[in-house]
Amino acid sequence: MAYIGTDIGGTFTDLVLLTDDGDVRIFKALTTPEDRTRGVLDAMELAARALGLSSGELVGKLQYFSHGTTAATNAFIERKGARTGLLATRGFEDTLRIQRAMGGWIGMPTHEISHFSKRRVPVPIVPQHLVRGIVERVDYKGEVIAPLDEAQAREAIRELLAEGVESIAICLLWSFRNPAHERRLAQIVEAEAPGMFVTMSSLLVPVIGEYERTSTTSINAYLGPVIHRYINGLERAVRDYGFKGPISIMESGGGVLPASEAAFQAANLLTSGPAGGVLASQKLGELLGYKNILTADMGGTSFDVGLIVNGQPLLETVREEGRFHVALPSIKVTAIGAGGGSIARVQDGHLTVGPESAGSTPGPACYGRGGVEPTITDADVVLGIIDPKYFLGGNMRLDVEAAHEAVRKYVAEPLGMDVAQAAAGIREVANNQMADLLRRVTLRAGFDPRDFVLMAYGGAGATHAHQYAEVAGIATVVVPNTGPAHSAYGTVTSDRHRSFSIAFGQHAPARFRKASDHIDLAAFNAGFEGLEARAREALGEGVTIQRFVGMRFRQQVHEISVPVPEGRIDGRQVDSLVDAFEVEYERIYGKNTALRISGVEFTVLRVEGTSPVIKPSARKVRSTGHSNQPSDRRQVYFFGRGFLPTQVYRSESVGPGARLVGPCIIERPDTTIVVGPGQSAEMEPYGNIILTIGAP
Amino acid sequence: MNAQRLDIERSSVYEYSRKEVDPITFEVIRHRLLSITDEQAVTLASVSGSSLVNEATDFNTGLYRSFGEVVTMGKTVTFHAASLSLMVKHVIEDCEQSPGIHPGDMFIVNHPHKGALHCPDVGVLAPIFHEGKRIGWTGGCAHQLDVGGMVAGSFASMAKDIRQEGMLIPPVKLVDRGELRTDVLNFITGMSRLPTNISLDLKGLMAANNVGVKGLHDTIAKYGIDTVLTVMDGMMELSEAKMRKRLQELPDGVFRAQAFLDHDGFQNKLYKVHVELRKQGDSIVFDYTGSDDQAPGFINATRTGLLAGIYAGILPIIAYDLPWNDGLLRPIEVKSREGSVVSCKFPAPCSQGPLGAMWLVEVTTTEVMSKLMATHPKYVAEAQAAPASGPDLFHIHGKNQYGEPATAPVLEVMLSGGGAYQHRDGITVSGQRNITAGRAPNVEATELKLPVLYLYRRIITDSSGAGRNVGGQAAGAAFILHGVDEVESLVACHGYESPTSRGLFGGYPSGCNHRRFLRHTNIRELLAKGELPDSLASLQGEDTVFTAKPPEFEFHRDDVYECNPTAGGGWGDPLERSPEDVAADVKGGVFSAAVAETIFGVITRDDELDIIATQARRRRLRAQRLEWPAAKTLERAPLIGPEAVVKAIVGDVAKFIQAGGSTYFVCNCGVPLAPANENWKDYARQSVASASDLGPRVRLHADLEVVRHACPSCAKLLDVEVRRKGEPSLLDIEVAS
Repeated sequence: MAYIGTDIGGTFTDLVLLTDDGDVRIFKALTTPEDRTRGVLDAMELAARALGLSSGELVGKLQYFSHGTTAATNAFIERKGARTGLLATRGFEDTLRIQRAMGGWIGMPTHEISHFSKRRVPVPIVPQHLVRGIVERVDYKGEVIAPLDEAQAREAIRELLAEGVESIAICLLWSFRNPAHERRLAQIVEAEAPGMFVTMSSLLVPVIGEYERTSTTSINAYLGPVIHRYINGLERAVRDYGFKGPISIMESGGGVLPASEAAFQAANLLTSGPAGGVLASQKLGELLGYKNILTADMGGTSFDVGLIVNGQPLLETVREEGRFHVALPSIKVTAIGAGGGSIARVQDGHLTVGPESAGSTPGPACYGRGGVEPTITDADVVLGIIDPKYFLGGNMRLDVEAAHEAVRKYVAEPLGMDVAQAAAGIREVANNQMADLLRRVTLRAGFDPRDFVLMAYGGAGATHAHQYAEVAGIATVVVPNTGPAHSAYGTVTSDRHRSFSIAFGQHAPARFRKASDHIDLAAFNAGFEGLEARAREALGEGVTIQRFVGMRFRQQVHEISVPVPEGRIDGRQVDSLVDAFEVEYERIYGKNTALRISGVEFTVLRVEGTSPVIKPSARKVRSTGHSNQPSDRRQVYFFGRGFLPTQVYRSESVGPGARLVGPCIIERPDTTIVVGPGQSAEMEPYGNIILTIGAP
Repeated sequence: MNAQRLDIERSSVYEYSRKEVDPITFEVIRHRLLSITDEQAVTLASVSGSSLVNEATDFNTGLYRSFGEVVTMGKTVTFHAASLSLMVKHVIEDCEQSPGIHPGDMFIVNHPHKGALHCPDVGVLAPIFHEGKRIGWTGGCAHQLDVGGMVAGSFASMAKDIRQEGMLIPPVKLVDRGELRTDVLNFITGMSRLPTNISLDLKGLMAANNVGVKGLHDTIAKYGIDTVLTVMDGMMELSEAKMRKRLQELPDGVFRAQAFLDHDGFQNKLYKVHVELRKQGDSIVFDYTGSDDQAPGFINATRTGLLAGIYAGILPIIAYDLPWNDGLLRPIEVKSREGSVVSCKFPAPCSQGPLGAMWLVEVTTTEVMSKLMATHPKYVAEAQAAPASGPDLFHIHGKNQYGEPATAPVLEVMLSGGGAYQHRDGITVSGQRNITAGRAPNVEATELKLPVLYLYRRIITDSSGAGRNVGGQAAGAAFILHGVDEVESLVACHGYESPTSRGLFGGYPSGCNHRRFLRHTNIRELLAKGELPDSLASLQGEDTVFTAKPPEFEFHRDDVYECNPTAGGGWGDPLERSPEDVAADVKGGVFSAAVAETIFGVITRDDELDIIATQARRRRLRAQRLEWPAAKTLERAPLIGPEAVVKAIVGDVAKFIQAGGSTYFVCNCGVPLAPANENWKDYARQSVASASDLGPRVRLHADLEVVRHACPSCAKLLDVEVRRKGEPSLLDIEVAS
């Protein structure tokens, strides 16, 4: 039996095929932007051919099909979503435009934020003439101040329909405390335009903060119809081959969704690609016994860092996306502009690398596609790290001369260095920037990078990990053998996942003695029961449920999710939630930062449901038939050391148990793994390479 | 930018030998230092947990050299960077001898004559040592919700003396060789109405300093002391060199700007903030000696405030792509008169100074700096019209809806508009310019913690300055009390009867700060019927006439408060905005049809453009301008032949052109207006505008007038000037011939 995970990237559509014998195989087809489904089918064809089957025969053996896509991200960034109308509380129609005064800078790269003359507001999701104010008002307690004026609402909805909207977002003030008005509006929309795509904020994102809620709701409504068409097309294509099993779609919150849910959770698909990589790392960590993992994905333009703590990916509750905000819990990935295509420049005798990138077109100078400025990849070529004849497994010839010339002209000459020194300098600067980011990401979460292993993937991740990991104080680097299609591996191995939350909004006041004196236990338990019922309904009775309560000190802004034990919660347990909150608060924000005296708020109840998908268990790599001998030996430049004679291994000749001592290089078709002087590398039984960095 | 000449002992400072540092190591260390500063900011925000720090980002952190020179600063409120630098100097001056400055020490300061901008800004600074000698400092400063004094929130409009405004802490040792002095901490927090909040912010500042000290020590351990200090000094030198190079490219000249602050807390008197920028070669002088005498009330800026305002004014304009550090300030000299409103003398009150005189220092610095940049085609795109110039503070003090004590500002002031540029309109709801990346709270966040219910929060029509490119609009709000029967309130602003968000090159100023307070309204009757109005139009009640800075007042359950902030100034003659754009503005609620007609000369009917009527209207308006009088006319107009040399451009409206041995101010229509050594405005067609000529949201103080200056030939509007009645027009630009 076979299991397929697919992931559509900017250039390639990746496919990971798992079979019952534990085999993991990777295939890549070109992404077909005009009809992305075709790229998926092309990749399936490649997979079938490799097994000596037709696509139909492969599908006949297929148990499970899972898919990750940038369709939502692309449609959003390019503003190619549905024509969307927005219903807001009257008097608050400008919430998206006001954007909490962040419109001038949000989502702009740091270095551009101080360039005031270049600031621009984002292209809107919902143009102002498609926003309607509805006469109604609810207060902070959820009490109705002004009832819904249904006649006025119906008129407003008809106006939007006359404007030709394809989708409607509904977000009213305090609807997360009292969703009645939103629900009634949705009913009126359904009556006026049956089948209209509608997103209600109280259902999708019942959290405080009308801007973030309106933004998330509008984005979801804007993307829903697009995702609906896309997923339908994909599903039809796969079903046409006779596939009858489950189809899942990767989301950004920690798992996969049933395909039928994807359109309703469209805003949740926005950063599913990077999330897939983190989830793949989590699954690999489970296999290899690592619980604390930093993930580092270095591609052509950016360096993306995620964090897995105690086996769970670190989430964020709000993130910026396409210059607006999405307030759905999602796997946190922090990026800087440092990738293979990042450009090195010298100005006034000072060297900088990135954040500008040559991308894939024109790309680095060595691609020979018209790029003239030197990039990180050019530096890697000049230094002998990347073999120009074995880039992408030899499928793409690199122009060494062009790389050399670019580094010479733009960096070496202006700095009065030789070309190798200059190229090593580019690497040194870039690797230190990446190390600074690794440190920042872990320290911000209240952890020490030295307590983590690092998983390095993406085309350039393992080429630089030996150095950025060392600078950040990380002792162990794992280079996954699924690295070339890590996100696709994540889509096929991830569990089904749904997150449900409701606003709670009770508090223990200043100088409280026991929180349980102030929190309504019945409401607390009823809230969780309702959420759990929804999770069971969505994911079946076999669902695994984790429960959390969002807590914060009164007058303070930091909110923490505190795990809530299962079953009915009694007063004693509520009191111990406060203790747990306090401990976690001080772990993150420092000793004596807790402010219990000011009171504690229980803001939101959340349930994370997961149900495992069927997948074969991993198989160990055959441990015989590997020579463990180098295929080549060449001069490779290491910063501060100069050119050193370096053994070069091809990955296919390295077997489990092999221990290679640095300096050496392991070439895989997708990446070049560098083992620095004083470091060593080993292949563990499942075929992943483990780098031991040692003390810096 | 030396604030005061301080007698500082140099023997306690580490002397290092300058090293050759290769550019790679330089860049790696530079990035590390910025990363440390970023970590400091995150640490402070984390520990503090307060919304002023986390959302309004009203704080700054950074690394400094031995005498307070700013090496790195956070991208938060830019005002504080200059402040922290001066605090370091005062700590050294006051504490070096006794109690001494030792490794592991930290010092606390909030004294406005010892580096702070006003009492609520509390700084904590830590010296950094190497082998027993001082190599630098790290520090942070954060705005506190309350530091005691006669009024909760520590903005005291009735104060006559700084000692009434809040606690005054000169440099005091808070941490002694690593040990927190609990006695000092208790002493300080005990003087605040919100002791736990101030205590958390102080913990945050101390934690941020620990991050800075450790980060720098780790960097030194790896790269060596000489290398790290060379990079720190090198970073400042690099910025200085780039700044000087940029200044060198610009023509020498003198630029002037002025703004009028209305009301001093006691009297509705005007205070002029006046700057003369003199640029020569690679350096500039900001001369504020022409500003009025200090006020008896709390609007004054200290000398620190002056420097901070200048700092905030110049950075985004000339240093948009340069690292922000002390090097940028070295080509700058600042002159002021002690006892003036921009350099007040102890014990003049100054709690509102950062939002008062200091704010207008930023605005006037922005204007002269913009005019300087606008002399050069390469830099004219960086020049900007005034941003919203002066927030209207609104402070609530009392019990909240849960019966808990509540003392807090309502942060609607963040919803202001940005100034227009040569190439684009200003940004609508841009936030305040001196907060690099600020955030306003959600309505729900405010309603959750304060006893208010908003009637509306929306973008305001006619709030921004007209122009070829228009200023960004502001958003305003109205609210009532909810869940309580009364609170005490404090409001204070300038720009209430004085248009301070000026336009550039013919652009109009934005509307003034506007507020309405309706007492004894029928709001509760409406609520009882389930009606909630979304404007004040349908409400009956007594309009309370407020001055810009009224005394504290009581806000009752039947009252309604509305505030609409100032917005961004416009750029260029409004008659040059395309009629289609103006029609779209009317449709989108940027301007009313009435303003479109009177100021832009654009006629719309039912939101649709009437182009024929518009062309006729614009012809008529231009013809009217040519009938305005001019004080002087050029007797013999010079011939501008092909041999004429452009000495400088004046934005996109005029040029200084040398022809036949003399230099002239020449309108871009090709007609010379005036000899360059005279005030070109004397040769322009002039008309005094009434407030209503400037739009429905402009009010004019009895002592102010607005004068429009147009080209006598093409009728293009060249400047809209705000001046004190009876004073001559300001000569705003002189370029060396």
